[in-house]
Amino acid sequence: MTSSAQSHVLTQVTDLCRTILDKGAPNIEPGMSLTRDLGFDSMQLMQFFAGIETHYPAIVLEDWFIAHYAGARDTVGSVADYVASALHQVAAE
Amino acid sequence: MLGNNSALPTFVGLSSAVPRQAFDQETLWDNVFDQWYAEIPDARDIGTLTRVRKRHMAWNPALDVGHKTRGIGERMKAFAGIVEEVAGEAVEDLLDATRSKDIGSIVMASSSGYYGPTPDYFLAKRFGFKPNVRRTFIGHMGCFAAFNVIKTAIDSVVTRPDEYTIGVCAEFSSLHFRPEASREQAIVHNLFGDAVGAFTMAMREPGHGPQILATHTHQSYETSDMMTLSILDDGIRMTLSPYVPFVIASLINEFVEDLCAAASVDPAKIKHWAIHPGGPKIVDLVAQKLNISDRQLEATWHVLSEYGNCASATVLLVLDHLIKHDRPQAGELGIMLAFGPGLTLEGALLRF
Repeated sequence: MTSSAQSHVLTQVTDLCRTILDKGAPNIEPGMSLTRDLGFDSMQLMQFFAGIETHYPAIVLEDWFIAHYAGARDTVGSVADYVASALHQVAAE
Repeated sequence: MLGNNSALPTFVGLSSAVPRQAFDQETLWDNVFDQWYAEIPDARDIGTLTRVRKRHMAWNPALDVGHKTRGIGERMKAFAGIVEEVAGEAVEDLLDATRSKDIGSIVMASSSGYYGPTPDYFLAKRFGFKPNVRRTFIGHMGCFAAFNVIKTAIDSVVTRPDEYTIGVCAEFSSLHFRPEASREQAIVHNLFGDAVGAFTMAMREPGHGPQILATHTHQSYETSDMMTLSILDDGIRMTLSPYVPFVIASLINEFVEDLCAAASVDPAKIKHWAIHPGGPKIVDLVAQKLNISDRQLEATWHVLSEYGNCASATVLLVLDHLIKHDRPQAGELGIMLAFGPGLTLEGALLRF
């Protein structure tokens, strides 16, 4: 996975967050937590997971949210890193 | 599957009771929540998102809490008063069909109040249970505690098959409402209501009520922070991660397969579902994963709408409603499910 591909995933994840937040979206940074900083509730998480699934049908986020839900580690950047890494793995198989 | 004519632990009676005062969401928002959550954007939408229409409450949050919070001692004192009244009503209903002297055990759970002697002692005294009745009080397990009660009751009736066991789940979450202006607490305060669910269990052959074919538990050890119940100086504070529905959904298929396998039942044969409506998204995702139809969820949605999430009592209310309105046929299979801190998944496989 090249850095430009990683950057592309981060852009898509950030855009997805912005779409879900709709009005009043803050300046979304990679270090922002989906739940603590962006305030996603379970409905918005549902939209987020569905959006990731649409963009990346081969990616399942279960392992990501089990590993990242606590301590505000559920950052925009962590999702992008997870997706980029998973895409790389899928491409290699 | 277990022999069709076997005597098994059976719910021979179910009852429920609630505090007399009830509030719809709009009234709660008009009277108090609009002020508590004034700083939270679109806060009033939370009242709709929870899909709760009405709740019964021991305390009126506008009058009994208001802008100042209250100490844990006052809250426990209020619990002692209301639990005897409402749990007493539920147990009294059960005793219409069962004689007090035949009760061998009483098992009770709550995560919303504590004192000793525990409330089961006072219920046993009030209804004239034998002085040697076996009493167990289960505290602080959370929304799945009906299953701790059920499993303790199973052990009792299997060991002493001539006796009856009374099970009681009594929850008064309204006694722990606190004016903390966070979105998470706003969701909790728009979801939880008060109720008592109770049952009588005995060893019976088919035809006397839902028989319990199997129970199953799963603890997810990686998710201990997702749902917590902390005792503070001013009440019990619940936290609820928005990721909870997704973890439950990720575990539920294997859980149901394991539960059914314990009784050699094909999961596809399950006709009736009594699901603890921890929140609407939990129900949605579990139903989606298990291919449960809207029709099969009517009892679950009804209880969420009309009573809210009543913690451990909820799944008993759902089962009671399901039996009265869906009228399962003899021999049909059903599953009860509840979820809570851990995260923990609990389930029971029933034969009606």
